Amino acid sequence: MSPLLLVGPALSVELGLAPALALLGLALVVADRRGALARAAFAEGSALGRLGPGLRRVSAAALVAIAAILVAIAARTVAAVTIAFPATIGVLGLMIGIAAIAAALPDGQHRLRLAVAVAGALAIPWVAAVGEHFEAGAVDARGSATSGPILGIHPFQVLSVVVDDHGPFDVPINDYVEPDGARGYDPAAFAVALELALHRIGELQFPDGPARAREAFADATVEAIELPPVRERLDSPASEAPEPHFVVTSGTHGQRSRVEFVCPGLREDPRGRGEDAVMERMCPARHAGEGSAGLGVTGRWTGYTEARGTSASASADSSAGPAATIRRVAAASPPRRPSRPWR
Amino acid sequence: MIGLGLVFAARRGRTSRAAEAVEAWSAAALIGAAIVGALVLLWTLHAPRVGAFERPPAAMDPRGWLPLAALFAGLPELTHAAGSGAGRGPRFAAAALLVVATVAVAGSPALIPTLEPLLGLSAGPAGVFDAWILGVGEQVHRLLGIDRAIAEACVAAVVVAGAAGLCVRMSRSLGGVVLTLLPGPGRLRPLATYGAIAGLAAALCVSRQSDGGALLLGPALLLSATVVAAWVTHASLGRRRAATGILLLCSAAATLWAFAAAWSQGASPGPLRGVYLGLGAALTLVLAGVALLGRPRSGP
Repeated sequence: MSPLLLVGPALSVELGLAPALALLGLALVVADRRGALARAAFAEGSALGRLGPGLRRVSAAALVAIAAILVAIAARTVAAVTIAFPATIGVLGLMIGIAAIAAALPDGQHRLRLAVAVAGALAIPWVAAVGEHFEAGAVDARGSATSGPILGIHPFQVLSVVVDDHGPFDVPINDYVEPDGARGYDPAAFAVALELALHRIGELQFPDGPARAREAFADATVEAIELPPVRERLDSPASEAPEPHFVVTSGTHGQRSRVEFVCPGLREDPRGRGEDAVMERMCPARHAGEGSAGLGVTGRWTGYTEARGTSASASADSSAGPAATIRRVAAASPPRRPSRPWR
Repeated sequence: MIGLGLVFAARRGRTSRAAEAVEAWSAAALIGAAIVGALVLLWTLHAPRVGAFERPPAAMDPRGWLPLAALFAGLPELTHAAGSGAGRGPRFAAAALLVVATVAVAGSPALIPTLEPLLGLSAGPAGVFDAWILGVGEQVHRLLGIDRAIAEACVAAVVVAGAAGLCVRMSRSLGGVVLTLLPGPGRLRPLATYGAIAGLAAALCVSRQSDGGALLLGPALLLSATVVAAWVTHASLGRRRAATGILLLCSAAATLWAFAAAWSQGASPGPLRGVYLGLGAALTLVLAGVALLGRPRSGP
């Protein structure tokens, strides 16, 4: 059933909807008919009973292998989907509950069991909605990025932001940004301006969807914060004053919720960005003058801290890493010269 | 999940009732989703263009053939084989259709790699299956006006329910057929059968070389058709036996073809994959040979 339902729509794109639906209907009717035929044919004592012992053993081996493959794929599909969408974990609990109720009902209550199963199926959207509500309320449900300290920048530097893997969008800053607000923006005003810019990106770039992208930008928030200073150089005394930073939070939640800063002026690649964008994150030298180094949001200087949206327990999602992955985008270091092998 | 499938494997008593309820629940969820989907389609009169299917594929995209694969694989017969009743062997026309279609499906070696991403066995956010759920969720959000995140969760929940039901159904019905094929005394036999299924499935789940078993899905579907064809051939007599024998050979050839196609696919090649595929191909050959050369038992 699963591949049938999954792949039925594939035909629609190719040839229109009608052939796919017709084929799907035909498949169901014929499968049912063949099932009825087989029930009659393979009953004990008829066709199945006449099979020789050798064929019985080989068939049994083949069937064990087929069952194992199908069970493994079904189980892996369940695992993959519950990991990717943690809100669906409750559905498995619902399944166990239905099994428990059905087991507890006395024999012969077939209709009652069927009613329980149908009620359970109707409860699936509710369980999913509750799970989603729970996910949305989780700690660190939304992905965010905390900038490096704002040390003060000149006009027309550019901030390049990627939210939920949509982007990058370059946001030019048209005035000074000073930690004390002496000229141009102070950090709080800058946060307001950046938030407005992100909302505008959502409206302009994704008016017709994807809804996730529009939500990510249109509901994004930017907050100005102050953090204790970090002593980065040993040859000068540590500053006492707290350092201003800003935090960009995605408008969506869950493990796909993520905010990144990248080097501005990236070429638009129709193939999309690569798996590991660390090298793209680091601005080439020609951007050092006009890039976004002053905001501390590229890999070239102080780096930024990224917190991905929590993915609940994320117990088995090795590709996404542990929940709420916090990582420090490392400052650029000169490439290491490959060492010669010792002879 | 495999453990649950195993727990529900008993054919009588409480666990059997529980398994039936889970299967009914899963089927009801899928039927409900299909009804909602059909209503939405009728309401909007256009097909949703989602994720993996958004790009118009080549004219003979094998994904379009997959309904045929599911239609003509031998699973319906196998899953019903343990039932009771009386009658003759499956009709000749059905067997002929089965083999013609399996040849057609197996004729597309591109079948195998398209299955893996469709089943979303790469669990990361970049998985195509995720993209499919996200795409359908977005369509549901847009057409029904419910919250996007909730729509996505609902679509994913239906997928989970369907796959869980499939897991229980397959372990139960195919395991039941194996028990029918290998009758004998002792309580250990069901335990050994379901243990073998669960053990193999668990081994496949962690198998990288077969993409977690996805690489073997196409061959397995076709092997199920070969099993049914072998039974029909073995049980039939006279001129009909020659015809069903030819069909069996075609079916076995299609299965071998699928195994050969799987050989050249897969993300991480290695020797173990060759062992899987070689064993499967050997099983197919032995199955066809025994069915053709062996003689049916006399009497019922």
